[in-house]
Amino acid sequence: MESLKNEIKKLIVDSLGLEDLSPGDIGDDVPLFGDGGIGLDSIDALELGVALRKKYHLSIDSGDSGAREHFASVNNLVKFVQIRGQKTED
Amino acid sequence: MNFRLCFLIPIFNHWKSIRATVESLFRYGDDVYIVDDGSDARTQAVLKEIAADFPSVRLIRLPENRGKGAALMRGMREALRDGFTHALQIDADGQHDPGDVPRFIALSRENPDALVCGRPLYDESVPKKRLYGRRITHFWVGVETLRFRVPDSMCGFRVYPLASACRLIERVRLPERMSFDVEILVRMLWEGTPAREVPTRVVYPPEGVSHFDMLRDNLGISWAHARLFAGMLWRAPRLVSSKFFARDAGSRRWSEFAERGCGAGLTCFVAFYRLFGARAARVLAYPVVAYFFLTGRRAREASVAYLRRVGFPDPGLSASFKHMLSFGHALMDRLAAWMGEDFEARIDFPDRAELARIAERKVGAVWIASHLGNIELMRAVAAKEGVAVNAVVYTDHAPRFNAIVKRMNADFTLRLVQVSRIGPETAIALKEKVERGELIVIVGDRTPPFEAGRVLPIRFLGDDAPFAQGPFILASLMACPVYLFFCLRQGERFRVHLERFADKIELPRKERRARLEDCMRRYAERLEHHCRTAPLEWFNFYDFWRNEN
Repeated sequence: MESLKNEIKKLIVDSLGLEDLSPGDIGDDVPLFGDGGIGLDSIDALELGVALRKKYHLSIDSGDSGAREHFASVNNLVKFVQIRGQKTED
Repeated sequence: MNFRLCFLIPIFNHWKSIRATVESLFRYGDDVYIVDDGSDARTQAVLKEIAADFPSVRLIRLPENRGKGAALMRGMREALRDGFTHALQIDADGQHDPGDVPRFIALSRENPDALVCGRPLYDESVPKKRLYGRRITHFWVGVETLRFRVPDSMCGFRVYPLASACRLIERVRLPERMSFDVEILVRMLWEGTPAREVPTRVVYPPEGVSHFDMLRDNLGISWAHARLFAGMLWRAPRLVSSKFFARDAGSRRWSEFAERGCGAGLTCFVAFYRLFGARAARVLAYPVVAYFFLTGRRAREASVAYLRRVGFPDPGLSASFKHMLSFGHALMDRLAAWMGEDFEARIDFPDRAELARIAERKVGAVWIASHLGNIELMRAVAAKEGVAVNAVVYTDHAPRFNAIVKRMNADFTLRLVQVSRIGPETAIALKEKVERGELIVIVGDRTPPFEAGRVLPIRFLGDDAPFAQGPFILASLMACPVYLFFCLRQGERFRVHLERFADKIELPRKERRARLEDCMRRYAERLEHHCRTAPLEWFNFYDFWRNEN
């Protein structure tokens, strides 16, 4: 759990090339997108989505209207990956 | 707010049915205003009897016949003065079903600001001629108020909120005859009064007398529409902005400006298209374009400046009008395509083999399109090859838009993805689509109003202009072949160019900026090439070169 959390934080920093941020700077419950959090924009969202998909083979049900919530914070992501993800080693 | 409702019945010589109508209302309330619009002696006698029998009935008499509108206005004024907040109008001839009165009252009570209108459900007794007139009127009201679903404008069974209705009556001169019902509805909608509807059965009683004079009242209604149409053009920006851009109507953003045009066009067009067919509907481009030309100073200036850059001969006002008219036609084509019109026979597409390859390889593709010519045809073109198209759009109104188009054309298969709503889940969904062999289309020559920092200055028609990085980053993330798509109108035909851009755009972090710049420069060069070939077909009516940062 703790390691998955750190892994995801690292993935965020690496895949988006966030040079001024280290994985430890990202709070577990801080909103990743929009104002008042990490402040990622839509291009970051695209990149992060693709990186997550590559690493965890995530898929989204087209009928899942709450899909956005899964990506709102590191904690949500951890939960989502645990349920839906299949880890690939790379 | 206290709610006091009275009934309001205008009457002209309907002596047979009036007593039954009045008595049927007493089940729901006591206060009845009858306005006698100069009826004959027999009717007068009946009315006097009713007034004597029921003290809660107020009888107002106009000494001579002035028309239904005059009678209603008089009744509304009196009712407001007597302290009523709402008046339920019902016809004297028994064509309205008093059984529906409680539904009108309940809805009005819930929405005290709203005009509650009856939407008639006719039985077979309705004369055909009147149905036809009704359809035309319905269409015009849609145009005049720029709405898709307009409340029925001719049904005289409605509840007026008296304060706002009377404010209108005192301020503008409303017609005194039959066109009153229509005009007051349109004007109240203009004022921002919300409307609610109650479906109600309307019967034309076999021996009923209708005072709808075919010639005089149809002429009156036509004249009313002519005036209202002019009024709509005058108010169009506000009406549309109130509808589509409630959050920030004063904004100068192009993305909103463009959709403003689209909203107005859409509404007029759909109604026109349904009634008169595709060719006639194109005529609508003229008033719409003339309107934008006359009111859109910024757009006009941007057009002239662009035409000068692109080397259009004599880039003045007349060229700019042509430019906008060309946009109007493109808009019409786009709408016709949405409505299911088949353009196939008019498309020249030398690169068709390339599309067949995309379909065959099933590796998906990203097409970078431009505001050049008719982007919409891509859907038609791709659908022919059995490739599904997903368009990434900058408008905030995509869901609404999708719904409208879907209603217009049930076969519509274009899926819109909004940029402003993009999250990681969107990326995952898009990626899945590409992996299924679908197409993602995004325009390369529009800067999204947000994230303005994600642009690079790229040389285009002589100067650096801020181009958005987003489309190229998206294309690279999809890790699939990338094409440039252009579709230019040439007279009545369209020429489609599908240019192979890259097998894959790779943007390693270290060389990202340089690689991006390189891609964007190549795109801008192709765009410039096509703009020079078809200068009137590039539709960005704002200062594209202005650096907003």
